Amino acid sequence: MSGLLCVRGVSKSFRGLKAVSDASFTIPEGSINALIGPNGAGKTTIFNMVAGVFPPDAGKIEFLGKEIQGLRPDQVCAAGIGRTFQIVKPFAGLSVLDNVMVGGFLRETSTRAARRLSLDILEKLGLGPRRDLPASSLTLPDRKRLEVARALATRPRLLLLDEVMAGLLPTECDLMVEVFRGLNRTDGLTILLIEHVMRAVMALAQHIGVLHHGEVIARGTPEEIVRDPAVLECYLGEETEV
Amino acid sequence: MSFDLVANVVIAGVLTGLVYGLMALGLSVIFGVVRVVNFAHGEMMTIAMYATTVLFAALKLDPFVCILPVAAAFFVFGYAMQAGLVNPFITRPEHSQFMLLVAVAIIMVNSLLMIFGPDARNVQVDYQLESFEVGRILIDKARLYSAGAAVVAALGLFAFFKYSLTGKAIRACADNYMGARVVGLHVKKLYALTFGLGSICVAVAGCAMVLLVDVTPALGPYYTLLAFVIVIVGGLGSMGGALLGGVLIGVSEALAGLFIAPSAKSMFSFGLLILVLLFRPQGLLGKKS
Amino acid sequence: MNKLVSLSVLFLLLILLPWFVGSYALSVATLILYFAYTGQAWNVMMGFAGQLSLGHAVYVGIGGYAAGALFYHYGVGPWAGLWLAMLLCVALGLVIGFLAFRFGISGVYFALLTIAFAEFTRIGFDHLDWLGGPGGMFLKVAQRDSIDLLNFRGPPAMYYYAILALTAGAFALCFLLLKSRAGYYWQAIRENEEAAQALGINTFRWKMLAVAISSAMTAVSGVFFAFYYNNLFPEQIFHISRSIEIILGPIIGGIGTLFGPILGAVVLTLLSDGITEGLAAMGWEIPGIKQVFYGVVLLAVIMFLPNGIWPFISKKLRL
Repeated sequence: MSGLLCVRGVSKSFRGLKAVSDASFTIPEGSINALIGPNGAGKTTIFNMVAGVFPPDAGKIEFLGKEIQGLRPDQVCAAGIGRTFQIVKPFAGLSVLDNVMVGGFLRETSTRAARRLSLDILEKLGLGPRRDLPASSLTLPDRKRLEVARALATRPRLLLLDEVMAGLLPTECDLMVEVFRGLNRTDGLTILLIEHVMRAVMALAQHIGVLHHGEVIARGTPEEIVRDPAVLECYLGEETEV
Repeated sequence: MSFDLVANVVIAGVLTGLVYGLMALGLSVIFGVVRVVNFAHGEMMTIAMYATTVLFAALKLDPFVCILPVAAAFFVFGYAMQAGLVNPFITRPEHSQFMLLVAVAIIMVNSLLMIFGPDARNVQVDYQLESFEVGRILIDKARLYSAGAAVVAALGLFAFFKYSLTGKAIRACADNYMGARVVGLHVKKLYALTFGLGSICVAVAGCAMVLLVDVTPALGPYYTLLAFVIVIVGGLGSMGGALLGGVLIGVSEALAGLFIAPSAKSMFSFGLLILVLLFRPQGLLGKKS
Repeated sequence: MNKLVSLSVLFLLLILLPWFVGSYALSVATLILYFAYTGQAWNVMMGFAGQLSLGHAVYVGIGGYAAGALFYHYGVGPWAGLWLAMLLCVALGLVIGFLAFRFGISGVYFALLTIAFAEFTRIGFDHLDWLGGPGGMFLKVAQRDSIDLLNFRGPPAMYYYAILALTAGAFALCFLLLKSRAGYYWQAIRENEEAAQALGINTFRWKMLAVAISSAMTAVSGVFFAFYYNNLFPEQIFHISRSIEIILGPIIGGIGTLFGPILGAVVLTLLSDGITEGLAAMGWEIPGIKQVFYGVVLLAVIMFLPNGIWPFISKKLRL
């Protein structure tokens, strides 16, 4: 099983409650993947294990052929995985540009190079004109873009997006979808997103994994997933945003 | 080193420790509920001690009689301080609140220095020289009375928090600020009330302590640190922990003074603080947060 | 450009100062610079790494005693003693930092931890007779007319230039650090440690670096103190009032800013000395009034200008 990211038989319990149970999936390079499922299905737990927030109780996580389970978040980032947070965490006292530069310093050591890289990324995400504003003054959609820009500055091979569409209007959501499509197309960025907003999932994802009660119950393309009986059963009664 | 000597010292340590415990209880209540680090706690205690010496010198009032007026005054002062000074700061970053009280502490200590000078003051009553004999053990009368006052005050506070409606309301605020507001509790007023109650503890402890030690302005910072050591060792948010911690510190201070050197007694307390912060930050009786 | 010009003018004035003023004013200027330098050193830990140290006097004390003891017992000059001072202080700082960061102690608890270390050291040194015990350690004061650079003895102007050089050096160092990767990382850690980690920052290592730099700088402060005042008492140098004095300048001037500690030191020392002198002129000598003044200023700044005087002024003056 080769791919950019391989999650194999990963489990995690919290105080006796099994949050993730023997989950496995592979993310091929250059693809956009989504992890969906009802609340409490274990998506964020898997996410956090990949990102190094806590280690799995069992199983392996391989990235670019190397095992990364149990590494610290900063080590995971250095290995090439960037992530955003569900509740955005901007460096409020710093400017937009400075925020991204913090990310940029991972791969660039000189201030000038980090600045150049950051300006490029800000342009790409449409935040160029706001680069000298304090991060605290941005609107929510812009904060989300800033979060993405910052993660991109670390030059990741894989970008983890944690419910990045939450709280966005449908039009804003479509704009974000375009941004990610562009990054995937032109830079070959691999993306794994956790998402509840089906509009975005259907528009973006080439592969989808469905979690329910900590287990992967279905895998496939959007068309396959929408017709999968197990998925329909677990989603019956679930509100989907269209 | 006879057994009697050690026993006497330990008992004295326990009794003094109960007074420390009451002082720390005040801090625990303030810190536990309002989440404010009252860095002026020891200074307030010192003010109470000075107030007692003044009342004693002017009106010949026994320190235990002084408890009533001093406690009442402190309640008002504590309430006012929370309402006027601290409440507006609740939303500010932690180190801001902290420095606010550091500033108050500095002003307090040095005002005392300006008013009373650096020399030690005390209160002289007859029963300070008397003791009870229990077998071969000698228990200082003054120390016993002081510890008794501390225990009575502590029990009063326990009862208040357990049985009264206001007490339960305060506990609710401590558990859940937002929730308390949502159900209509006037949280800021309750915070002020809590600070007032904590101040009463300090007042009673101060009146009691003045029979046991001479008071100088330098006691202020010393008692502040001691209160924090006790609260952290005993466990934040645990009232029983504050008393237990107080007794522990009182005994260890007494023993350190006996076996090592009187000047080294607080070294032990600070060492204990460091160990507790590292290995059991929730304290002996506290809850893991 | 404006800033650079005004800075250069200021620096020039400071260099020429000893020619203009008398010995008392010079000693006040030396004191101001001492607090500016030490405050800047503390600022690295607080303003950059976000860790509130309320026991910073411990580094001044250990630095001072280290260099002082070498001079007192072995006649070794302060240029060598400097290295021992820095070594010991960095070691202590790293121990405190390690204990705090590994065990997740921060905020108020970290402050209490630093206080506990300082108090523990203070009482401990009271019992170390080899270092003079509570009676203190006194360094030989040579003739003040000739300059003995090797042993750092000389006229008051020499000390003034030394602390001026230190302060300027500290300023330059902090300026360069702030603009560098270290500065960005420290600010990120201070703003949101979790987000910083997700960007590849090993927050533990960087926090330790800030602690090491801060404690090394403060050690130098201690060495200066020892050879300027020539006497060291545990009760004095490790006392919590010293720690609070150190932080007053940066807090009043503005934590995390470059000019904050310097401005704060100037404001505090000038005003407080003004008050004591004014009172003395009227025939009053009131112990404690200077500290009450400090407390009131601190209170006022925290309530009305929480970010310090410098950010307020620089905005008003459009600097």
